[in-house]
Amino acid sequence: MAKKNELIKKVVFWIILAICTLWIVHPLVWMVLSSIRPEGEIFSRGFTLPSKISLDAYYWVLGLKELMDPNNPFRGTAGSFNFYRYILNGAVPGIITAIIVAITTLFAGYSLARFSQRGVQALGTLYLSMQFLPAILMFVPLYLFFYTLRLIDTWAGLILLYVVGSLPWATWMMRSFIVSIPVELEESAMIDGCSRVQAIWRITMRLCAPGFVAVFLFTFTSAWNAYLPGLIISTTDASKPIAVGLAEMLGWYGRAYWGGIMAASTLTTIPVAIIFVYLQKWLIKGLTAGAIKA
Amino acid sequence: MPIKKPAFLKLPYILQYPVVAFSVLLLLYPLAYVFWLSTVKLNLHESWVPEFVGLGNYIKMFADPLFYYTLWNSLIWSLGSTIGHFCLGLGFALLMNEEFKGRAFFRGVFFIPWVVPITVTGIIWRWVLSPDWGLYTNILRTLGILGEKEVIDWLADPNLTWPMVIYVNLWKAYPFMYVCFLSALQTIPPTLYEAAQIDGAGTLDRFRYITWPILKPVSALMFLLGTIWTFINFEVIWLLTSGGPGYFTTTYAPYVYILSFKFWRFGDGAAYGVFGLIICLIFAAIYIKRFMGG
Repeated sequence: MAKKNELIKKVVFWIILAICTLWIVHPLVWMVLSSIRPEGEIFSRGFTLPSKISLDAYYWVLGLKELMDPNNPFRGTAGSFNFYRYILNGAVPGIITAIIVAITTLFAGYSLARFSQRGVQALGTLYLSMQFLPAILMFVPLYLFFYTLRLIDTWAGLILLYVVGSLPWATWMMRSFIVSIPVELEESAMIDGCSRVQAIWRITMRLCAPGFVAVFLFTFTSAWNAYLPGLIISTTDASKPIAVGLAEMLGWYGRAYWGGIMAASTLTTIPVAIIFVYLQKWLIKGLTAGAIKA
Repeated sequence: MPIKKPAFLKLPYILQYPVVAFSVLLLLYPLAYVFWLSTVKLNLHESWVPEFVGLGNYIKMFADPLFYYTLWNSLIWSLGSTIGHFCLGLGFALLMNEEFKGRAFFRGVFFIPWVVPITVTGIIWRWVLSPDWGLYTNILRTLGILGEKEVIDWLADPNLTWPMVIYVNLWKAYPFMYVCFLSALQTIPPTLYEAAQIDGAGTLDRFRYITWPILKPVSALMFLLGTIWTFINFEVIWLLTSGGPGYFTTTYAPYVYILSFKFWRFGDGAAYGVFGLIICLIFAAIYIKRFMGG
């Protein structure tokens, strides 16, 4: 009897798990399915799987007109979505942002983790509270500043906005990595004749390399995913990041090519999906560091 | 007698300089500036010369019916989403706290919505919810609930817009609560449950007397943070409905955006923005007092 109960419990558990998993992935599965559907089937009524796999939508996004089905009505507009430019505008400022944030938070995070001076800890609390500033409110004055400084529609403008958006939580995330490295290691190096700076450099910095990489990748991901900064300051394709370019496709002239939109969305998600797989073990730290004082 | 080095020239403070510099230039100075902006009339499509009006913008704001309307919307939006996130996050965390094969994999799967770029989230949900060719409409047709030619305008039908917008936000933002609850659950020693089981406590009793008392302090914190973050969220609503139909789903952040960057009335945008900030600060003060001070 008890065994039967166990079995029922197990079956119920797996059914619940399957339903939850399905609910989480269904919009993404629908996105990928729509991106490989042949053109004629995208607007069909009824719930069906694609009759065959067609990569036309991907060729369309990538501008490979020759590879597309000659009957595809969207063949003429292949490449009109400025995909490569948007990817460049998303990736380069994202990488520069991640470098700046990882280095500056390494210093600040170390100081927060190792020194108990009142002033230092007050700064830490200040960074925490900066997360409560509504981004949209900050853009009102920042737009005017950036206009005066000619930073509208530039990579530099995007980088500054991404950096300031990431610094508060990234500092706390870095702090939580450094706290977990025993301070005794530094102390014993100092007894062995290292100066404080040498001890930090040779011991702590080496040990927190994984934390450094995690902060770097988290910052890159948040810059890559960010929509609001680009929406406000990127006025032309010169600086429009992929997140903004993609959103604009929804309001395109005439009938939007939904297959193409889905293909571009899939391609935009791939880099963060790869980073995500790598970052999995850091996720809990990354998400909670800025919220709960460990 | 050697002169004592002032504190701000010592290592702990020097390490904070880069982050402090970014914060002052791009957050604190603009913050002070936006308070000033809220006391001037600055309509960029008319003139770039600000004209001091004192509290005029605020008086105008309190007389504007749309102010109360968007505030009410913000309440529905914040509370609806946060309660949903809370239940979903707690449920998923309890599910993932069970012992089963492949748990690490599923824990990762349950994070997925967090890493999907916000633009992609908006696009795929608009596609899933599209009236005629969307996944949901087609599922209802397959089940025979909906006729072959019938359509449901999920995001524009006044009875459905709010539930659907919140529903999408549930999908996008529950992982934060999920992670926090999961890490709190992992601090509970399994021996506690074993002892309770020997004493004959059922599943519900174990939740009520062991799990919930431990989760309770974290829950209050999460609820507070979740409410603020949802309140200041711009992207989800903007990408799904742009605040429409009409102003039907316009909450705080989209309304500040509309005032500032659609109508170019920076004074009005700043005044409404500052009002929202004050609401956030009240919440943040509770948060810091309760969880940081103690």
